[in-house]
Amino acid sequence: MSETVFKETVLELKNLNVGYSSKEPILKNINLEVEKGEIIALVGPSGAGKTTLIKTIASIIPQTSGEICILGECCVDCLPSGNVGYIPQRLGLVNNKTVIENIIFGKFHEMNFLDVFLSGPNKEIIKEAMKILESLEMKEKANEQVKFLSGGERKRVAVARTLLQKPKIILADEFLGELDDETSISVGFKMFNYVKKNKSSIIFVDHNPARAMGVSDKVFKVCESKVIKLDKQEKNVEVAI
Amino acid sequence: MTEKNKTQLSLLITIFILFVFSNNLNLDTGSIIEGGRNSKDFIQEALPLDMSIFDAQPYPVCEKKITFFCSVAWLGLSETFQMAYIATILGFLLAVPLSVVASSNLNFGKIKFISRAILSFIRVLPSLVWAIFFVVAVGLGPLAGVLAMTIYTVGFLGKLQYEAFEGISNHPIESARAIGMKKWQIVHHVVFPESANNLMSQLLFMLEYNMRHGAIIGLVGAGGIGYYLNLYLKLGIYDRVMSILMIMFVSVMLIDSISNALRKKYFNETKQ
Repeated sequence: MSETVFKETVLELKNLNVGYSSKEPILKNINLEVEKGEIIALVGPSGAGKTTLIKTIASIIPQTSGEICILGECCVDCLPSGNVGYIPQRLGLVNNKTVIENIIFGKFHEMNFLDVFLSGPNKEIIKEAMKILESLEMKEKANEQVKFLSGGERKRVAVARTLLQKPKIILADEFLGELDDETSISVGFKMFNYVKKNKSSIIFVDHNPARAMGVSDKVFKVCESKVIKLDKQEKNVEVAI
Repeated sequence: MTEKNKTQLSLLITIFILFVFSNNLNLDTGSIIEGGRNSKDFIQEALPLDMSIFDAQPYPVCEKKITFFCSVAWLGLSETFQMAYIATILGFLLAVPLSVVASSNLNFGKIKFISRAILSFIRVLPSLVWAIFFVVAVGLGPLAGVLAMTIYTVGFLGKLQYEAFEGISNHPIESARAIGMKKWQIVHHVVFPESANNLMSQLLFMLEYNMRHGAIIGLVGAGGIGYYLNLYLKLGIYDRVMSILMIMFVSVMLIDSISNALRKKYFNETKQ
């Protein structure tokens, strides 16, 4: 007997337009669906709008028109709820805080005023954060300030923050860039393994098309204000408009 | 008209305006020469310095073992320092919420303009005018001085603080917002740590500034070393006036050196 597979859409972009004025949009009429457990790669030339698309989904850049539906909730000016993990190109770490403090930010959306101000994060959270750091070979750097870390180490801190957050959707802008091959495989494996194991979804920007093709379920090319779906042979098969 | 002619014309207009304004204000060159003679008389009377300001005052009777602690120098300076310290800390604490709301990168909407208007209004009046206002309101003494300096510190530090908040990188703020951190969490855990160096530097600068202004506002009866400065000026005891100015100079230099050392240490750590 064949098993019926129910697909669950976790993210949907409907007729999305993004830009600083309606006359010259950076992204035009984007329609995109991401299903639960999917790994989506965004590729394309520099300045095409990949980061803009990621930032719009993360509610950092407002759309000029259209809708973004996250976990079934559609809104025009959405407030982030903690269900979305975000690793920006420049990582967005707080330089004057330690590695462990930066990672725990991933759990802040679950904490109340007293937790954060008086008692701080509980032991369970710290234990979990240390476990993630250990898996990323960063345990011994836990109490170091982020400003003293190398570029690769900073990337791992940003990944660790997202893994602790346990979001339903992860938005990652070039999180594997600037890492040596070995670290990139190890960090990428941790992230994609988390996505598959927890039925989470990830949209990541990658400048390495071969790697993007290799690890993702779907690859989209951002080009000339549009998002084009690529097949595994890198042929354009569908224009996502 | 050539560039050279334009420059010459601008120069001529500037000199013409200079003469017109000088004439309007009756700036008499004779008075300047007279002023020079008066200054010479003042310096002759002020030197040598009167070191009696380091001795215990005749009244009230000094009960301390070290009589210096009953001297005009110590009483005035310590009162000015205490006023400056209290005003700087209070002003800093009051300025923080106003500057957070006034920062454009923290999106507090229209309240931002109200907060900026309050800070601008405070800065419109110099600390001396605030001192006169508080001397009238609460009477002569250190309380008026502390209140005046606190209010001025709020206006001055508030502006510096919101500029420091606006100067930090947007990436940590955007990132924190995207992962669901609340606004107060972002302020407390992202904005404050990222601008800590600037806030510390501004705080030290303000302490030094309030120490200097503590003497000035004392002239209108707001306590501190300025009270004695005013007293000796009125009585024409210029050698004591000069002594007070010298200890003011030394104490400001001392605070300046300490704050420079602290800033250097703090910023050097950041640059590693």
